[in-house]
Amino acid sequence: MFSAIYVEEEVQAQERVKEILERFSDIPQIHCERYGEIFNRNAQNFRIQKKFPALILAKKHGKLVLPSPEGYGFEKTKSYYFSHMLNCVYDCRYCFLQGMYRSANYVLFVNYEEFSEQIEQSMGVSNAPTVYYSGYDCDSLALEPVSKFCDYFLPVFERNANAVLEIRTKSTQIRSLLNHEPLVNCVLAMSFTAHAASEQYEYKVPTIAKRIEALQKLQQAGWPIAIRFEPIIWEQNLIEHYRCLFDEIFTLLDVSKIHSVSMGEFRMPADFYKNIVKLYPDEKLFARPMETKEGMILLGDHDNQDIEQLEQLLLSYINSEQYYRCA
Amino acid sequence: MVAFSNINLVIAHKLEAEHLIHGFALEAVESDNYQLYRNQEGMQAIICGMGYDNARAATEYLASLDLHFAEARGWLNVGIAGHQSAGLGSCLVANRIVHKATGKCAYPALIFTEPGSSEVMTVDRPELEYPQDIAYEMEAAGFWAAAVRHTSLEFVQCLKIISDNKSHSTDKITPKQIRMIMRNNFEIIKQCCARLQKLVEEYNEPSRVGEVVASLIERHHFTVTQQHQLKRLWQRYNALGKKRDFDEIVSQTHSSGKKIINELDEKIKV
Repeated sequence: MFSAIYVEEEVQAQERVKEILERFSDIPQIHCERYGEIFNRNAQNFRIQKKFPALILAKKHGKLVLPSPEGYGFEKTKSYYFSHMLNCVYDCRYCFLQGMYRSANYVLFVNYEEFSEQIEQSMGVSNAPTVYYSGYDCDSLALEPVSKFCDYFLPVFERNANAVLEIRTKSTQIRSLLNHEPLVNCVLAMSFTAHAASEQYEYKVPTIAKRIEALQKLQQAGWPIAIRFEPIIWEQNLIEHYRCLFDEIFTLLDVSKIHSVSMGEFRMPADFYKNIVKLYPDEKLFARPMETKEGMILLGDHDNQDIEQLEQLLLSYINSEQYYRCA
Repeated sequence: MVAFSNINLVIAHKLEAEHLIHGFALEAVESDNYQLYRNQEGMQAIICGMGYDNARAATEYLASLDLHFAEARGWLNVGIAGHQSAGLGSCLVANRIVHKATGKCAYPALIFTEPGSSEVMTVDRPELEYPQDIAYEMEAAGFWAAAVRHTSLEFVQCLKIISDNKSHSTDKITPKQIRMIMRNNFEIIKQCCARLQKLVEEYNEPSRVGEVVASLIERHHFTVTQQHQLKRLWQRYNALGKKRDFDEIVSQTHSSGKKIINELDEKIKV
């Protein structure tokens, strides 16, 4: 699973760390002063490192809870994101993380107590419900058996009913959620692309069927679930491909109980895109014509009517109040 | 005969290198500065001499010879080391390299852990006390400092073979013993070279461009920027399965390199 585990000296005495080290006692365990000595140094190659990623156990300093980027998420109220982890165990070719980090190692920030402290401090700032997004710099659930993220953070939101947690994922590691009483303010948001794109670009990701099955189990257990159709990657017969996907998802789930459904086109900061092209010069997706709009790279070989057509199709399955388009 | 075309070996002493030179069919290459070896496939080895500075300088020298290679190469420092507890003749991959004199640490990516791994401390004088349960030697940090300036760090590795420990001190090391432990570990060294070679190949392969690009650059004037654009266009056509279109476009008569690029750029959008 990991080629090595690096441990910051500052966290090596933590119980959470000891448990992980005990579990992976057969993997080289190497001490370091700060995770930056290993993660994101110069002269690293994300594509090569992805073949043998290491786990780095570290403490995150400074601001741990940050305002969400504009257009991220479902609520117009104040929202924040936090990243207890950097990088993802999956290997989606369209993912911006490949261009953001030079390193493919996973950094797990184990100072959960400080995260929750800052989350709760930020809740006090406004009277309106505050939304917290997890899974911006990682997949929140994919490493759950190691990180025990849910075990720690669900109780934080259980005692703060005025705050909402969205757990963004493609993972089927839902055991810790199923072991917990459902919380109305914790939404499990599963991401999907159409079958063709999933097969082409989503390496190591659970199949669409498995993801739907996980959502069914969660829904049956009473958990609020959400669907994220992101990123939409334009291709021939896209509408037909999504019609199949929508049929599959919305016939197996109770649509009326879905918290929200969103859609967002493939887009990426231009700098990240440049880095990714260097890593994957042979990748078909990045060989396609692109256009730059306000520093973001978008696929340039389709027109805006396509997404409107796709939205119309989606709205034939769900209520318009459940829908939002990602900026 | 085994050969790894994209591998550079850095070895402190000729005694440590003897079996590798033979096993990899390396032949001496004329050089004013170092004992340098190369085989027909392109694998290279340099005898750097003892110590941090020598290892650093020799690695830099070898990298300067590599400048004519367009592709990345793997770097492997092989040599003997002392260890508090590891058995004589055992082989360890460096998972952390500490330069004792400066306190600087480096963390090689663990691409090859089959023989086991260990922290390696580079010291200025042979360590006789083995105060920590780690490997002690004299070159790894110098080698690392130079090699990572020239390639991605996943392609820089150190393999240390234990020649002395608490119960068998450095003064008992003999040339015969060195030859023997190097020979006994040749298979592991080969496996490490194979892993490096495979990774380097996986890195180099996607960036390669067809002969047609080199031929175009020879026939037309392209600025350096235009050469990059041309290479990228070739990669894009290739990735999109439009290699034939590329060949067809460039086979037509064009008055300049710039016009070729414009046409390729325009037609890929279709």
